Amino acid sequence: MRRGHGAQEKGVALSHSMEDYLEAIYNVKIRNQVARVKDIAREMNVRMPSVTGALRSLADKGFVQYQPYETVELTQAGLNHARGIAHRHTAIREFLTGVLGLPQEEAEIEACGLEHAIRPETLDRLLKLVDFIRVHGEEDNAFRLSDFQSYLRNGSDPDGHVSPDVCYLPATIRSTRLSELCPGMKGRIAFVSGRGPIRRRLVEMGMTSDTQFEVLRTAPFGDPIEIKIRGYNLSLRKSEADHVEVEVID
Amino acid sequence: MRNSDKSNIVIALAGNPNSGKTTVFNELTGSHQHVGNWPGVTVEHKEGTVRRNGQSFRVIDLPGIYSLSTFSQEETIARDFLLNEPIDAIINIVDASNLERNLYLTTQLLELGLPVIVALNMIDVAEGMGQKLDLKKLARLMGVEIVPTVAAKGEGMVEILEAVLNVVERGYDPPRSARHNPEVELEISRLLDSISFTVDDDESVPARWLIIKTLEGDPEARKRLFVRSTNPDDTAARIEETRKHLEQGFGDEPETVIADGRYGFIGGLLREVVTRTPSVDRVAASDRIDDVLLHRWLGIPIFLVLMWLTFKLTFDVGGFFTEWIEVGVSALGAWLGSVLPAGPLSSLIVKGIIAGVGGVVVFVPNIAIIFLIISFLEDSGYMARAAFLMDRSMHLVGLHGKSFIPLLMGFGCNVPAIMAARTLETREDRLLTILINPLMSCTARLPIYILFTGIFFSQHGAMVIFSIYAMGVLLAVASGKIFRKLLFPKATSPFVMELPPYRMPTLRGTLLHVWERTSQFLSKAGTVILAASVVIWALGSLPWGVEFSGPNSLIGYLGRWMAPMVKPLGFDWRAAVALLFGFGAKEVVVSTLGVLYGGSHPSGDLHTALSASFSPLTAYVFMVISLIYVPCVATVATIKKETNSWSWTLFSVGYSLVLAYAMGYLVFRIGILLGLT
Repeated sequence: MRRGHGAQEKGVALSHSMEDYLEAIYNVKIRNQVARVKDIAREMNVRMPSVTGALRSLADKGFVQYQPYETVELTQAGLNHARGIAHRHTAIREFLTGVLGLPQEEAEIEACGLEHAIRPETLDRLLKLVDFIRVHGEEDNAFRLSDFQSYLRNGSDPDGHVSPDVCYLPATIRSTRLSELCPGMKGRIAFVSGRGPIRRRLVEMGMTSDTQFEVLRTAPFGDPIEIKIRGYNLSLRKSEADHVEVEVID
Repeated sequence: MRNSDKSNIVIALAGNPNSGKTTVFNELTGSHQHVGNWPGVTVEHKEGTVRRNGQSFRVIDLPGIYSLSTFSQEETIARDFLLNEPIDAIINIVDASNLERNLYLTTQLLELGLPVIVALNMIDVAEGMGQKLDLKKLARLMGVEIVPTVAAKGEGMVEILEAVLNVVERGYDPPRSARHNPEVELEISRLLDSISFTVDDDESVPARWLIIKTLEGDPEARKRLFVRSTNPDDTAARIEETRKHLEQGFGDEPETVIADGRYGFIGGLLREVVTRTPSVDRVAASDRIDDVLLHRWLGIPIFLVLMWLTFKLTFDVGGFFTEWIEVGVSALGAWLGSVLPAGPLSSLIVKGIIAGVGGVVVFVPNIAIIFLIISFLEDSGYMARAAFLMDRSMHLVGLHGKSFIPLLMGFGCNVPAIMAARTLETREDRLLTILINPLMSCTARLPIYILFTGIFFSQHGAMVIFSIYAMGVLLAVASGKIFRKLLFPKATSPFVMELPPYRMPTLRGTLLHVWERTSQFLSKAGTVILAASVVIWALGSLPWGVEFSGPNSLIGYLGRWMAPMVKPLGFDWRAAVALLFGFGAKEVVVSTLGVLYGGSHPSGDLHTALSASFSPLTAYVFMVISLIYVPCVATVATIKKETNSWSWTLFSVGYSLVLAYAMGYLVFRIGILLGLT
C-alpha cells in the first residue's frame, strides 16, 4: 500500500495512526499557534498518555520535537508531511460531501480512513474535480466528463472557470503555506515555522499570528511575492514564504 | 548613553527605512553635514550640525532600521551607537501614514531610557488619507513628546529642536507604562528584583532593557548584563529558567513572544488614538502604478527600457561633458608645455599631474549623472521594485535583485557602477557585486577590441566582440557562484523587503546625494588615482631622456623582465608593457601599442606592425586578457574606497590577474590544439 508522499521521500513509513496524530497537531497549531498535549488529546478524542506515546514515536522519526510538559513543535519534515495529510483529508471530505452527497459526519470518518492511501497526483486531480464540479454546478451548466478530462490534459477549461493560470490553489484547501497562495487571496497568519534569524525578521516585520494580509502579486517569474500586511506592502521570496503557515479567508 | 556635555547637544535620528529620516536630516542640517563610513564597515555615517538660539546641536543620522535586534549590520551599528555614545535625545522619525509597523521600533527605543521625541512625519499624507489621530492622547499613552512634521516641506523642524531643548533643560521622565503582555512583564520585573547588580553600576543603559534584550537572545546585551551583575552564574541560570518558562507558557521562542507583545501593545494604542481610520488607502494609488510597473509581462520590459535610458543618459550625456573635459585638459597641458621650459619638471606637470587630474575629473560627469538617476529611483520607491522584478534571475547566480543595476552600469564604466553597489543592504551582497563588477566590460576596453578585430577579424568583428562581452558575463556569473559558496557560505541574504509607496523625491535631497557621492569620489578615490598616474608617468619617463614608454624606459625594462611570463600566452615584451600601462587607464593600451609597435616597425603603420607580431589567435588572447585583468587604477581605488578594506581590494586585483592569465593561457592552448596558429 502506498503511504504519504513525505514519508516515501524520507524513507520513513508512518502508520495510519501516527499520520492522524501529525494531522491533529497541524490542525491545532493552525488554530491556536501552539499545540499542547491536552489540545491534541481533545482534537483526537483520546487520552493524554496515548498522545505522549505517539509523540515519542514521532520524535524518534524526526517529525516532531517534544519534551515532556512542553509544547509540541513540528519539524520542517513533520510540518510538510502533516500539511499533506491535512490537504488529503479536506479534499476527500469535500469530494464525499460535495460530489457524492454523503453526510458530513460520515464523510469525516471516511476521509480519516482514505486519506492515508491516496497519492499526491491523485489528490491533485481530486481537488481539481471538486473545484470543477462546484464551479460548473453553480452556473447550472451541465458537467461533462470530457471537459474535465481535457482540462486535466491541456490545463485549459473550455468555459474558463477553473483557472489554468500559473497560480492555482484549489478552493478546498484552506490552510497551507503562504508561498502556495495566489494573487488576490486573503488570509490570516497562523504561525511562522522554523527558528532563527529569518523567522525573527518575518515576525518583526509584522507577521505575527492572526495578522490578516492580502497577496498582491508575484514577480514576473513567480518569485518573489508581494503581500499587503499591517497597511504596507512587503515582498519576500517564496523560500521565505514557505515558513509562513496561513489560513485562507474570503 | 547619556551625554553630560550640555554645550553641544547630541541628537540621534532613528527610524524605519522610507520614513523620511534622511529628509529630516537634510532639513535640519542643510549643507552643514559630513558623510563618511562607520568605522570598519561600509555603512554610511552621516553627521551634521545645526544652531538655534545660540545652542549648537550635533545631529547623527543612524542607518534606517526596522528593529533594534542584531539582524543586520545597520541594526548593530544603530544599537551600538545608542548604547555607547553620549546622546541627549533620540528623534524617532515615524511615518504617520504607516504607524503600526513604524511604532514597533519606537517601543524598543523607549526602553533604552534615553529621551525620545517622536517626529510624526508625513502627517499631511496621513491626513490626506482621512486618518485622524489624537496626538495628545498618543503622547500621553506612550509617555513621549510628539511633534508632527512634514519634512519634505521643512515643517516641524524648529519644533523638533525646541522639543529637544526642552527635554535637555527640564529633564526626561522615562515612560513607565507596560508594553509587554502581562506575563512577560511579570517575568521581567521578577528578574529585575532577583538579579543583584554591582554597586558601581553606571546605569548608562537601563537594567530593564538589558533583561528584555537578553531574553530576546541578544548576545551583546547578555554580555553587558553579566558584567553588571554581582553573580553572573546565578543571572545566567535565572535568565535560562525564565526563557524556558516563557517558551513553555507560550509555546514559542521568547523573542517571538516579545515581538508579538509589542505589536499587541501598538494595536491597543492605535485603537485608542486613531479617531478616524483612513478612508483612502494610501498604497492604493501606488498599487495602481504597480499594476503596470510590476506587471507580469510588462514589468521587466519597462524596467529594461528605464535601464537603457539610464545607461544612455549616463554615458552619452556624460560623454559630452567628458569630451570637453578631455579637450580642456589637453589644452591646459599644451599651454603649460609651451610656457614651461622643457625638461623633467614640465614633463612631470604636463604628462604626470595634469594628465592624472584629468584622469580623475573625467569620471565626474558619469558619477554625477548616475547618482542623480539612482537617487531619484531610490527616493521615488522604484529601486525596491527593480529588485523585486530582478530578484528571481539574480538569485539564480547567488546575487540579490538590487545587484542588477550596478552590474549593468559596469558596461559603461566600473567606477560609478561599483559606487552604485551601495544600494545593496548586506555586506556580502555588496562585496559580491563589487568583486564581479570589473568583469562587465567597460567602454574604455572597447577601443582595444575594435583595434584588434579591425585587423584580424574584419569579417566577423561583431561576433568576436560579442563573444568577449559574453565571456565577461559568464565569468562574472561563475565567479559570483563560486564566491558565494566559498567566501560567504553561511551568510543568508533574505529578501524580506518593504515596497514603499511611490513618492516624489525632493530636489534638495537628490542634489545633496549627488554632491556627496561626487565629492567623496574626488577626495577618496581621486587622490589614489592621481598618485598612480604620477607613478606610471615616472615609469614611462625615467631614466630621464628616453623615449616615453620606449624600450629603455623603466617600464620597458619591466616589460622585458616580464617577457618570459607572457611568452606562454604568445606575446612579446611590448604587449606586456601595453598591458602594464593599461593599469593606468584601459584607453592607454591602444596608444601604447602605437608607440611600441608602430614606432618600431619600418612602415611606421600600426596595422601592419600588429599583423606582423600577432596572429588572430594571439590577438584574441590579448582581447581576453584585456577584458579580465586588473581593471584600471580608478576602479581599484574605488573598490578600496567602497569596501573600505585593502585585503578585499588586493583580493580583487589578484583574482583578476590569475583569472586573466588562466583564461588567456586556456584560450591560447585550445587555439593551438585546434590548429589556429
